[in-house]
Amino acid sequence: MTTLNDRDALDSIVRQILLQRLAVSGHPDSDLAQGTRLLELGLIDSEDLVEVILEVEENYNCEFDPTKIDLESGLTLAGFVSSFSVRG
Amino acid sequence: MLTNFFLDSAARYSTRPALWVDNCCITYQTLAEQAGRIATAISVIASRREGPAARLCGLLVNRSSTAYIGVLGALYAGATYVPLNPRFPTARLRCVLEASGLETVIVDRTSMAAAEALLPGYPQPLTLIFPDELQPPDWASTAGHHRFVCRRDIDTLDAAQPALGAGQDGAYLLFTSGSTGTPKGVLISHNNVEAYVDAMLGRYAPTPEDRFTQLFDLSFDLSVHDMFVCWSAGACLFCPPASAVMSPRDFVRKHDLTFWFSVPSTVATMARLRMIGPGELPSLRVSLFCGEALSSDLARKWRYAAPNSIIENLYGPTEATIAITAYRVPDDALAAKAWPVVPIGLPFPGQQAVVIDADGKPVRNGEAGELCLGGSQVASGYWRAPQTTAEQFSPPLGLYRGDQQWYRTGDHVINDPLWGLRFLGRLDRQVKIRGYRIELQEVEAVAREAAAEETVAALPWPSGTAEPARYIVLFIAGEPTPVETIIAHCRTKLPAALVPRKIHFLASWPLNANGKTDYGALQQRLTGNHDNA
Repeated sequence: MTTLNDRDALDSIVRQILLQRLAVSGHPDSDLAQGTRLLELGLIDSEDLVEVILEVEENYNCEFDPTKIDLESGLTLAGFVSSFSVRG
Repeated sequence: MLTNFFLDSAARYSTRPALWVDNCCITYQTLAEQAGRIATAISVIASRREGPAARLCGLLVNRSSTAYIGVLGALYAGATYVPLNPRFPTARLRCVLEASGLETVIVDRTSMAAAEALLPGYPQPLTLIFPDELQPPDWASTAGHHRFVCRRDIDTLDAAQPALGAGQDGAYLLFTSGSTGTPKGVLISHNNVEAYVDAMLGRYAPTPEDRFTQLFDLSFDLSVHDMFVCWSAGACLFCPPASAVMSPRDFVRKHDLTFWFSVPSTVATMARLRMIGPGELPSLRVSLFCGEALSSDLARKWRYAAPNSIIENLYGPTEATIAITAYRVPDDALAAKAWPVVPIGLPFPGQQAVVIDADGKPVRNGEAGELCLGGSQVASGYWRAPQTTAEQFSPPLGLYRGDQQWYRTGDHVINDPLWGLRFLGRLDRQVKIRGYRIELQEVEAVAREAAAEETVAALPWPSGTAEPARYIVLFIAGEPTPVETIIAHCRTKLPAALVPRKIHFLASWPLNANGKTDYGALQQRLTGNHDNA
């Protein structure tokens, strides 16, 4: 288990794992802006997102907070990343 | 006719809300009027053509207002609707177009790109109806022999009166995964669906005050339950935005929904996201699950989340119209952890479930065998596939009656005297992922092309547990090649649920005593190395 020390490191890890998932699905990361609505890309689905969440939680001592995301208005990359926090 | 369920409610509850979609509420009256105009457009077009394909109407739609108006419009016109999921690959959609012989397709605003991709090189002339567009898109001008009907054409039409059809006419034609690599069509008649809706009305007694979830794409037959059980009662159907479908807890709370219907995987996702806690869904009074095995653990979680709701596990293949058996989950059985997977219960009144052995003979009570279903909900066969129909739609030995349809499900079950039918697994290589029925041979056929390697095997993961399978893992013989290329190819041919998520390359391929792939050994390999699967 890797412990992340700051917000930037956490953001970087979440983004990196998400991009790895997208790369396997054939999506170039250059197209992925902070405001990109992840589920509307059509390349990842809820199962992918759950996998990413579990991978981050299990390996980096941090926690996903579902109350911080608004699924109805569309889950953005920035919103997804900010819904994680380092376990205290 | 299925249409009558809606028409009766439209007459009785004309000003009440029928549909909440795209952040708008539509009354029964408005929905009926708009469906009538679409019906006229379909009839005018269909009347120019002859043959069975002229009686079909495709729906290339997401869950939009146009989708529901299109379903009703097609039925008003006396046509059979054929859902085309715009998120499916173009190759898959073309396959369905060709297999069905569709000539008319309604397209909603969100599916224009899918329509554009579908047309180039498609040999048969199609008529595309765009109810959301005032005029044809620019790309239509280069679309050759195809015709386009737009909103400005439809708005000038009078609303049609619903067609008088016959009960044996097709209501909808759905295509499911086929083991040969080609999707197979199942035509469900009005009589089939009427029998189902009648059973539901008797079982759950919905009222005009009820508020139903609508989480399924139209290409999934469980959506028919949502629409027509809801509308038969004069209730309102609530369609969450696509982004909320993965975990609709907040949507249910916001709209005080009373009827829930989903695949168990939706609850599994909510649970993994920690989005169902005790007492969080108090408005629900009926919770129904179907499409895959419901684990007792998930049922228990739902019981806590929706304390005022009954929970029922529904079961049924597409061929037997949505669902044909049900089991009501009692609190004490959950507390006692009576089973790892909730039973599928007993057939609806008037329907039959018989467990048969390998020779087709009914087994004795308490013995396991293949589940064979009979009754008014069972379809008459596969679309334009007489041989497969003869194989699958045959009665148990000694139970032939000329007026009753039977279907052999391929599901391995036991008739438990205490709980009714219990699902034990499949007798073939069909699996369910998020409710999607998947023939693993179809995945393997595409994977062979993608990997340019004959020896491949597709397996569900996880498997052999009460937890629903979440994705497909692919094994390929030989040296590793770029995984991205293989997955990208699969995405061009297969719906997302069928695309393998993980790929293993094996230098040494396990074979059984007959020299065939040893799927058990591959499964063990996954189970033993699940962290790396």
